Amino acid sequence: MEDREIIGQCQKGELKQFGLLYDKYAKKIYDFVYFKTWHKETAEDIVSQVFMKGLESVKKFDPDKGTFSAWLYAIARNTVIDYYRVKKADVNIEDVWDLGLPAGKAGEHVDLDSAIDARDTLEKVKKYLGKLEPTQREIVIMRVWQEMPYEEIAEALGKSAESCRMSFSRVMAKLRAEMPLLELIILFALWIFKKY
Amino acid sequence: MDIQKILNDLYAMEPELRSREQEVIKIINELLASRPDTKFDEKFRLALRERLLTRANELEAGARLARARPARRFQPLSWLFIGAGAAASVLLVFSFVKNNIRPGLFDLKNAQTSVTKLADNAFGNLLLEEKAAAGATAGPDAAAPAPAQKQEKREIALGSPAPSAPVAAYGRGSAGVATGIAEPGKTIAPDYPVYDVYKYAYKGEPIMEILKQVQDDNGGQDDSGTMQVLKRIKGGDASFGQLSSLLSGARLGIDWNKFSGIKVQNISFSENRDRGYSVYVDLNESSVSINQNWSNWTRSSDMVVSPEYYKPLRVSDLPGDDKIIAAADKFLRDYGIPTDSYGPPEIQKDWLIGYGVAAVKDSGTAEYYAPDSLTVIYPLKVEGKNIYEESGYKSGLSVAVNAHGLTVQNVYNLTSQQYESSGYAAEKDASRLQKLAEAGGWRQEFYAAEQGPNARVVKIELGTPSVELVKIWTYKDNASQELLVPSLIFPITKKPTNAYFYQKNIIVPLIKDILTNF
Repeated sequence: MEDREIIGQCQKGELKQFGLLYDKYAKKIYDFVYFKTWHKETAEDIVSQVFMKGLESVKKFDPDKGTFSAWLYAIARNTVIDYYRVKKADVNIEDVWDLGLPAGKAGEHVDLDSAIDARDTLEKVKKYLGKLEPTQREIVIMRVWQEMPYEEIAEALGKSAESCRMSFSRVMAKLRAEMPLLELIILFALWIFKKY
Repeated sequence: MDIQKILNDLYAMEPELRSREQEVIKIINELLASRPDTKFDEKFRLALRERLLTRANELEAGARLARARPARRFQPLSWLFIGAGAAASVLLVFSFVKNNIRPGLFDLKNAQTSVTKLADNAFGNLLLEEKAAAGATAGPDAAAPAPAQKQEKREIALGSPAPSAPVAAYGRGSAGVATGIAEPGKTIAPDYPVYDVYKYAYKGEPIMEILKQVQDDNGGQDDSGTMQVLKRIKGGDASFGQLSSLLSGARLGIDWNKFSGIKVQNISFSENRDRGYSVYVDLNESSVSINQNWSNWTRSSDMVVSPEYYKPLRVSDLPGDDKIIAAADKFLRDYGIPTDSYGPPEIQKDWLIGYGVAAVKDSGTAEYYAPDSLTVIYPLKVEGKNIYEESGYKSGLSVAVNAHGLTVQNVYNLTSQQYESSGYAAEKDASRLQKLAEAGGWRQEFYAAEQGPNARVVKIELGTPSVELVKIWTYKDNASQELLVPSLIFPITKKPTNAYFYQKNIIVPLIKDILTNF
């Protein structure tokens, strides 16, 4: 059943059909949120809020103004921003990357070392992802980690698929250009070796 | 991940990257290799799904109520507040109920039982907790013998070594009811059970035929060999909200602000009037029970002064069934308690079994009297099937009526009727099912006991079973699950006439996971 059809049923009062939308998007939204928080419990809290908000607002959703997927991702993004806003009200934050800090539990002192699940991994990929603009980073994560096609990324981010493609290619060009000289020499040597 | 596709997309946008392919591949590979495990938890997924469906039910119910009678949304409970203390407190409580409790939790008026179908095995392993902890396996292997440490007990239950071997058991009485054999002129309700050895024999149609019929009727069993197990959707809470103000007013000296995330899990109300009632709303279990507010009933003058009220009843003193049922019906009707999910009322008469075997009754020296309170059951039906308790009796809304004055004493088992269902592997081995029935069926081991030196063999005959749903409770992850499990219900067609033998049916669940619990 297409999203539009399910939403139609929800809007007629059959809200239990929302379960089908949940089945389809639960993992995607969870991963999306996890990559912004790097903390399982925090991601679960936020995802719960996202789907509850989605369920309670689905009657207001207008399919003519955009896809359900884009709408749900927008709720997820805003919920993450709200979450971090509580943590650091005076900083323009969108996720753990921009904040530069891992997530902490609501209402308690942010314990940087204990609140993150994958600190080592985060440190490793910072060299690639840490310097990117938030949207660029989202596109890379969605494309490479979440294996989403550009059309779906575009829906989620409210952009065109073409601009997402462009953005991704620019990121790759940028990352390649910033590769350390030594790595470039090694790769070049490997390429020569393979060729001959 | 199709790296080549990523590369092709890249080259379409930035052709010069093609000459740097090794470097780009390295970057992508490093990114892929560093992809963190997001730890997506299936338990979390299912729990959130259940919460969403519960909330969906609540929202749907709220919308229905709003459409139906927006001005009388909580009318069924409004009487609870009549005369209840100071006006301000009543208003505050009413406001709390109206604004904080999610309407679906009161969705007892929903005429339609709803069942939402999920994927197979969606409730996880159905093993009871103690079995799961013992490492028993489920699924296709569930038909295998029980774990070694349970073998001895199982052999008793199964009538080892032959299936027709007798099973030692108590008189199968329930608490507070007579058990054992009557002796002329003596007490009919002995304090200690008499050991009988029950020998069950199946006398019905071949069970294989019943199983085939189920499949032919598409009565839940499909080609995949699964049958639908239902789980009642329950659980909920209400925000603490205004209730904290009410409690602050009670000067309890507790700083409620120090507690975080407080949710209200149950509420009770009492009518402050002569012969009033108390209502207990369990938001966790999504159930409501009503009891006489006894402190107000006992001060009722006619009860205090009338010796008639305390006079033991004989069967001839009891009001007719129609009057008892009419009293229960009237109570439910007066208080707006819905009965849409339930069948026609029946009066529980298992007490007559004890009465029937009593030697002295209806005389001045009788030691067995008719009960003061008679229970009317409105049997629950879900998807056209009767629901049975694990005891083998029908499950449903229970209304106890006092036989002296035809007043309702209590109402129990008023629950929400929203379910999820999921397919589980069904047992198709007819001989195994018959063997389990002839061993006494589900929960047989509870009654199993050593045979005494003077134990008497009692022959019990079982008739052709029907396939119904049995309410089975499991406890997992610190929460109880209320499952409706497809089961064979074997009627007891021949039983002792001179002993207190209360069972009406023998139950054998048809789901392999559950059978592993035998």
